[in-house]
Amino acid sequence: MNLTVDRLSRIYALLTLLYPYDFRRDFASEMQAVFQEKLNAAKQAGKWALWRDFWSELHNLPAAILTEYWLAFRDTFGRGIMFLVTEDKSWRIEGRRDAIIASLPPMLMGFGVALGALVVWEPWHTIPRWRLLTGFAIMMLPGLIIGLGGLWALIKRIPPWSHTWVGGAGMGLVLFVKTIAEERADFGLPLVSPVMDVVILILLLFILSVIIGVSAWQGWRHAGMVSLGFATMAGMASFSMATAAPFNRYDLALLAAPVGLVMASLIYLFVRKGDGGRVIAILMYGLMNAIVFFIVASIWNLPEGDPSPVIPFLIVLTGALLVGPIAGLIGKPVRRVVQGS
Amino acid sequence: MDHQDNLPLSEAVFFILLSLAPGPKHGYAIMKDVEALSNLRVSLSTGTLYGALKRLLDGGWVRRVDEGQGGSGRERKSYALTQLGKGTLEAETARMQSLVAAAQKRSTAGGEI
Repeated sequence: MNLTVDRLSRIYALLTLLYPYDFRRDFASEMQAVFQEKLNAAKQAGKWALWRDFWSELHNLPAAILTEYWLAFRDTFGRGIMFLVTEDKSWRIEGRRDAIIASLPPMLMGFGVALGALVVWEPWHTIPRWRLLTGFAIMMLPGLIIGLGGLWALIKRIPPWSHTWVGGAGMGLVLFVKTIAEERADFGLPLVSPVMDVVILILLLFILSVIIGVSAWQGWRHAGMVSLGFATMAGMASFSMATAAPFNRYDLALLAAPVGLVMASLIYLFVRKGDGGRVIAILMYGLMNAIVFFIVASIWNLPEGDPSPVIPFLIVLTGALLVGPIAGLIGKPVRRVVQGS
Repeated sequence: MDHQDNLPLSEAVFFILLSLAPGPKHGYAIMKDVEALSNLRVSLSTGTLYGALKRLLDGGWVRRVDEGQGGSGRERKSYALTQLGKGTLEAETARMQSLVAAAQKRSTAGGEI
């Protein structure tokens, strides 16, 4: 019987680890002692009384734990979001080299898209195959580099410079899959199969959520960098759309290079300056993406009555840009509650 | 602070404060006492008890009293009412007494309750 009490007490001790950090620091040891005392008393009344008390504790535990999380979260948030925004004001990427590496994804993408457009320049069916393939490869290469960079960063446990790369890689993967899916849909084909397509969609959402979740754990600035990575790829995809048939607007795609440079400067501002600079960088990024998309959308001659893709796409762009900072603002207090300050 | 601001108390909180009224008690003793005071109607789980105690500590209604090591070798903590806690308990008791008095008055006047 003592063995049972010991085992149940150990299980309870493990379960108390689920409480928020501050709560378990202050009360877990006491709760375990009281629980053991309660079980020792119950065992005098028999085995069933012992299990009944254990079950009663177990039954109440989820509600008790959730209540503590909610109250702890509310208290942390009660100190004000501004506190979270302004705390650790000194955060920035220290090394200039690391800051430049963090800023590289839009520059690579911008120059890749512009250079690829220069090589192709004319409608795809009017040029030699080697030129089309070379141009396409040049456009795709930066995406591949960013993807590998993001993977490398994940292996290296996301060093400070890498959040834009990880974000870019995540969104790049989504856009890559979306492009293939659209191409296949033109022929009435699914990506793989109807069921697998749903699995792939869930997997992609899971990957993006993990990327955001992990960076949000570190704070809104890290998650903000991931968002800039998302927005970089989403924004650059607009230029690629302009080059697609039947528009063939390779001249517009040339704009990707200066836009990429400006985006890179904004990321540099984000990682090196204060919070004011970061907010400006996010706003400017959003504004620039919106302008680019309006320009690209203006060349589409949609049939009368067809729904415009502008608003949905702008919502996606804005969402991509804000999801990181918002998740970070929530993630930091959650982390404090779970792990302590 | 006006004690009325904190009223009414939840049943669990009322019984915990009532249990501590005679003097400090540790967690398990509070649990048993609350059961006895409520004629086994209120049975606090460990999680509920310590959640409530945390709120009472945060509100300054109870304070912790070190009691040295208990039987399990762990440091044992007891809880005692503060002046604020005593005042709140008295205010809640008075509030409930006035409710009961009102009900009794109606009852003795021949009305139904």
